[in-house]
Amino acid sequence: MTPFAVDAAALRQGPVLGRGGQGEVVEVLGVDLPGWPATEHLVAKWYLPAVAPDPAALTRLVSWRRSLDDRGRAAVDEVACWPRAVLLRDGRAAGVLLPRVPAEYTFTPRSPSGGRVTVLRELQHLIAGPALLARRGIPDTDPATRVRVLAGLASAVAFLHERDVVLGDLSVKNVLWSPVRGVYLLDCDALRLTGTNPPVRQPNSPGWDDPAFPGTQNQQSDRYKLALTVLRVLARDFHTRNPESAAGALGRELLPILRAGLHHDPAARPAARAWRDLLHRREQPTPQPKEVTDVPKPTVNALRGNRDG
Amino acid sequence: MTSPGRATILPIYVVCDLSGSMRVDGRADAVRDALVALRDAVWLNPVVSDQARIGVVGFAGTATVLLPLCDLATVGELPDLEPGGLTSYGAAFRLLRETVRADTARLAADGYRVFRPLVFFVSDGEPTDRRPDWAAEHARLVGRDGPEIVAFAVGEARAATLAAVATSRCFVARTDVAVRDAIARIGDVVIRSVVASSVTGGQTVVGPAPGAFDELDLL
Repeated sequence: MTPFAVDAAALRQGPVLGRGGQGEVVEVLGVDLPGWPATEHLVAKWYLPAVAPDPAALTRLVSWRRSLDDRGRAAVDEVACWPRAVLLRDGRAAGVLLPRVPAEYTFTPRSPSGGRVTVLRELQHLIAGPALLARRGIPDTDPATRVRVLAGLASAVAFLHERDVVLGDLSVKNVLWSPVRGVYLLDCDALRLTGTNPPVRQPNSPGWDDPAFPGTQNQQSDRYKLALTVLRVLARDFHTRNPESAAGALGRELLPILRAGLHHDPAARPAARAWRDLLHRREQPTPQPKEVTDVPKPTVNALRGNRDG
Repeated sequence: MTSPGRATILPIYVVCDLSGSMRVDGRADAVRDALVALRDAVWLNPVVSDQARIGVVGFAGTATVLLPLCDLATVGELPDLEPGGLTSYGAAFRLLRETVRADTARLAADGYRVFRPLVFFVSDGEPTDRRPDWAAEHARLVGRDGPEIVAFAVGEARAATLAAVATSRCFVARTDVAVRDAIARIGDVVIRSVVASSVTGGQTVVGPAPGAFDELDLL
């Protein structure tokens, strides 16, 4: 059986791929353990000493994924950068082994300095308005793509919620998207299972905080942040909390669910699966055009009426 | 066009020592490289353009606004840096106070709400003006509505001096790290802090990777 924890000595490590507030990510060229599957591209995320992850909580996350059946595991791996093993250094939990982000979630614009750079396709690139994108030579998305990505996000959150996962922090940098593949959640080593603590302290972004739970994160605050994500992606606005600002893109028939999703009373908020079902229906419009004529058509102009820098 | 009103902007200033000592050992080039990397990072992160404005102030015997507060993604040519002269902290603090005040008023007049500004202050040497003089300018700068200052001591700058400049955090480069390398790492701190602040919608300072700096306890 593949071990839950892997010692640093068993890793053949390549170059540093990135540094963040919690530590650094290093390419893994191979894992020298008998029976370790060699098919998956992996990276090692090493925490800064100050982060001090909870080894039991990390192991719980690794174990949770392995407890799923093959279909469930494949479904998680499709949408989440989920820890494969805890990494040990000098016998202590110091990092996690993660899958490498699939190439579909990256793009390669030319930076102002002239070079091509590989960049993660983050939620911020979906929220940013046409002017902010055009200034950077980044192609804009159409409303159908944005609804499709949101449907994918709602599906991913619904799947995880139904299996007792709390996402905690949704931010413009930890949700990746692809016009052809869907969404991919980063920082899954900071998630927790209901009733347990997260492995590392989960940040609470002030711009995304849930007024009902200022100091804690749970599935109800996840519902709020999912609704806030739907609103901001459709309104192309990094700041808004006003459901009306997405009315043009969303259609007025969806305003009640958006208002409910952002309600201060957590009990009023629809579950992620309600968003999933609704957005999937929007994603596949009925073939008879007559039936949709009463729904305001999402237009590019309507979307451009919002903040775009 | 933006539709301000609801948006809150974080003004961020990089204040850098450009005294004569910055001419040696590629120190000024390291500053310029760090500014290029910062501009590229802002360009790659549209959320920063939406949430932050960045300005650059250089100081030696006098202080100059090298880059007025702006969306750095829109800047094609970055300013030339020409080090030379003394190290007047007082001149830097005075110009910074005037600049912060004018920028904040302009943003407010444009309909933005404004977060408390954030300053990254970098010096490679001791001030050449008298301490009572620069300390008085510093007190005026950090008074009510003044910016938060993160200070970095590199080269010949003394930890105790920069600790008196800092209001939130103070980092001191280790002596075995070349000053140009320390400056490059400060550039990383500024980039990661700018991006993190924009993502979280507030002031977030991400400290340097371990190894090159020690953080002073300001309490």
